[in-house]
Amino acid sequence: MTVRELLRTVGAMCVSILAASFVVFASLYAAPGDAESVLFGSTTPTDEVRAAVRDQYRLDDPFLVRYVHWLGSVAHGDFGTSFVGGQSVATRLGATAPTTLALVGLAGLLLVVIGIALGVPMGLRPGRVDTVLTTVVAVVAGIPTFVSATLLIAVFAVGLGWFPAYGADGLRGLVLPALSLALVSSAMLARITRASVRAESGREYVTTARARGLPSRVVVARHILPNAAGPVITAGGLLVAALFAGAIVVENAFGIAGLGSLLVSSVNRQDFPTVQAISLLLVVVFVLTNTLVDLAARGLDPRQRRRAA
Amino acid sequence: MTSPLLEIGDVVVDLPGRGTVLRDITLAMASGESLGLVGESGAGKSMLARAVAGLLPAGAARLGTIRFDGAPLSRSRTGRDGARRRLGMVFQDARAHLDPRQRIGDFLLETTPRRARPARLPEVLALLDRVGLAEPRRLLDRYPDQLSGGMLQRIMIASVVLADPALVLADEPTTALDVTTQAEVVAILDELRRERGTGLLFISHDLDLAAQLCDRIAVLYAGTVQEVAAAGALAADPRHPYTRALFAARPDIERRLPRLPAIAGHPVAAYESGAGCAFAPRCDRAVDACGTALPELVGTEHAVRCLVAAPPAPATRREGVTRC
Amino acid sequence: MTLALALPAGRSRPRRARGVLGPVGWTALVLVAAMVLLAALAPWLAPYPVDQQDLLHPYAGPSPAHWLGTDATGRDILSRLLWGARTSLGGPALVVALSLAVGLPTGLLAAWRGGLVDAALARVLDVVFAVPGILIAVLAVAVFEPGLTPAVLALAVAYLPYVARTTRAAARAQRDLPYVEALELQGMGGLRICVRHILPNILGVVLAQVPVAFALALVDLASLSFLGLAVQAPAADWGVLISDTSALLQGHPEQAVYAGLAIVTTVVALTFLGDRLTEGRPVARARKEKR
Repeated sequence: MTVRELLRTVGAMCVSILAASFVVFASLYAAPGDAESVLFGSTTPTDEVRAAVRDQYRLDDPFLVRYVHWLGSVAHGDFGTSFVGGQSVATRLGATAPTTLALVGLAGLLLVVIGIALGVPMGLRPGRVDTVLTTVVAVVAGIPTFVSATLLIAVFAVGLGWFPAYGADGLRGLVLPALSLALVSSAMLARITRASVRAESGREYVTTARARGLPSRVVVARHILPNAAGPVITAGGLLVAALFAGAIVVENAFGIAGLGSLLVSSVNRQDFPTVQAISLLLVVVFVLTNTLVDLAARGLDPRQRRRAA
Repeated sequence: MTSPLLEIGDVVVDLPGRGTVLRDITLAMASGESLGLVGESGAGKSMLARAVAGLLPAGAARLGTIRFDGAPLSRSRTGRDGARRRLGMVFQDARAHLDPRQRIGDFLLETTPRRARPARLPEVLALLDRVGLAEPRRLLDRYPDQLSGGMLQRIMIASVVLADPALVLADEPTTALDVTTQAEVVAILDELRRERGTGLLFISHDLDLAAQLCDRIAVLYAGTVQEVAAAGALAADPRHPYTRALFAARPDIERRLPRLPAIAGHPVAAYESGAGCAFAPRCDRAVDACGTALPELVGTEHAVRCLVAAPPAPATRREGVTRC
Repeated sequence: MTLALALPAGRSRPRRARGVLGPVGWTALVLVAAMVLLAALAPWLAPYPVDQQDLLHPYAGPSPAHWLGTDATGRDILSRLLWGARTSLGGPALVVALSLAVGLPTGLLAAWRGGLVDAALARVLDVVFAVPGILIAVLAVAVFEPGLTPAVLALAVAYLPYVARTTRAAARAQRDLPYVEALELQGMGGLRICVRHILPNILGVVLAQVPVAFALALVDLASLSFLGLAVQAPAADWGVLISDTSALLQGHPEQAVYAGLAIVTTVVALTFLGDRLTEGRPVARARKEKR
């Protein structure tokens, strides 16, 4: 890949993020609910208080000015002030983001390990085991996160009492949520891995390698797996990014104080600055992952890499 | 023939979902001999090579014996096991048969233990030069997609020769190449074989090419050997109606025909043929008996599997006897 | 030099006819049809009204009166499941219908006009594509208010790129075929060619994506209801039925299990159906194009 291509990709990414940030800001700006009614609730503020609050939240500025100001502050890590409790949004994000990151990190690890550990043997060995596993994987891929979360709670938390049902206390509290978060995606990754490995195993160069007397494990490790890796890495990256969206559901199902549950409670309380901040953060994560996956896929292909040189 | 290099006895191959693709194959090759295996697509040529190389598709069943270098070959699908160590295979489409992620140098030296590779390098470079590739050293760092099909096939041949095989199986090695490259690649294959005294099983649908290159020719139709003879004898005196038809269907610059005489009907696979001779439905000389029982392959030097085979041409006295 | 043996080798196996479902596909289709039928006939099939409470019999086990038992306030679980199927299946159906209604013309337009229109649409769709449907829906709910309508509209927007892209790709391939050129030379208008000739030819490919899109929309919408952002609590959507955490914590997961089973069965049947419909088509083709 040339520097020019790289710049173009990064440029397209920035445009996407900018466009998304505009949509996020504009849609909430256009929301029918009045910021004042959210801020003051049923109390009627004095004129001075009202003026001060309107000034603080820049409610009287024109739309574009507010947007540009918001964008500028966000670039400096200032996400504004929450409508609820008057806390800085950045502080609230700081308090919840580590939990979400830990949850997604753990789930991502599970997703990659389970997906590949299932998919590779399925792809390499056609037969009865593969048929059974394929069916199991297809069924698991059809279990939505909130269903698996509920069932895991019912069995392992309420039924057997092995894990806490609600609220994360350290790593142990994250085991069930991460498992339920990773389940669907790992089934999807297993399917993709299987298909990719199966396709590569049937290629002619595998016949060549076997005809030259290379042992099976060498053929698999040095030829089949590296060639099958491309689609798996692409899909894996996108699935890990999608875990952030899944976290919205899982955190609420397990009552974990992360970005996802903060987002939903902020939506319910019409706390727009917080909703804006989290939405923007999630969009950036998705667009960034998409771009990175794209770059990684190109970087891993010797043909593409060579063109860069 | 004393202690044949390759001995194929009563080999039958069944493929899952298709049925029998090879039946009653009996062939032998002497050390250093070249045997051409000729037939239309679907005749089972490639399957025979794959059965010898141990590369039959998954689920395929093989009966009969294949002995190579005196040792019987297993029916495993693992490719070159111990007994197949001195067996090399050149495929039709070299580009598809090379790992796109592997540099040429890594490919050529892959079968050499890591420690022995530096010592092997001069030999590799000499060999690449020998197969007609310029700047061998630069070539080692290239990937397959940077090279032409002809170059890749030369590299494939070099990789096979590097393993010092006693027998090379070449499955239509030039079909995917353009005509000028074809001739060069065939010439290289032939020269290397003669220099090193390697046996060659040359698979082709091109009867002329096989006749030029090989000592003997076996004609395959519907998974069975129909006629085997020395290349010269076969060209001068084809006995099986199918072989005759093949020769007649061949375009010839000297003998301008108004149109090419194609063989009537279409070729069948082994599993599609009935009890009798598979060629009978297309044969202009077929008699009733041809449809009922599969004839034996009769003869030693010049063997034919046909009830109504043409008698030996009177001018050239051949020992092969045909029972009619 | 080569022998003239180019005679056809007699390919005996014809290409698999399109739309052949096979036993798995048929089973899946029957399951999906049964679910839809149950949802449609819920008012007649359900033994009790959806919200009829019986406070004397909370958490009753299965009995002839209540086949699947009752919930915390003694409501009949079977009736709630049947009523819930209406929003749980109707919502996603609306999502798919809306995204088809907008996505098909959009994709056709992009394929027909090409150039700037195509490029602009591709960029817009790329941005939408990069954001998961559920986040778009959460945003929409934040802007309006929690409820089925904003959630359905937002998901329809989120699913638009899938439909538009499939349509565009299929229509693009048709656009380059000689028959389209012939029609143009005859002076037929672009709209007419698109609607009368291209659309019928690509409809199969696009509609084959419907089961999978339906399944995805079902999961997204049920997730939103589970979060309390789409269908609201007293109603009996499958997602709502699962979200009853107090029952769960008191050791009564039955209602959640039944609703979960209903969702999983429908989703799995839809995916199998979709797999059969798209087999050897878009997926296989995409892989071929990659090579």
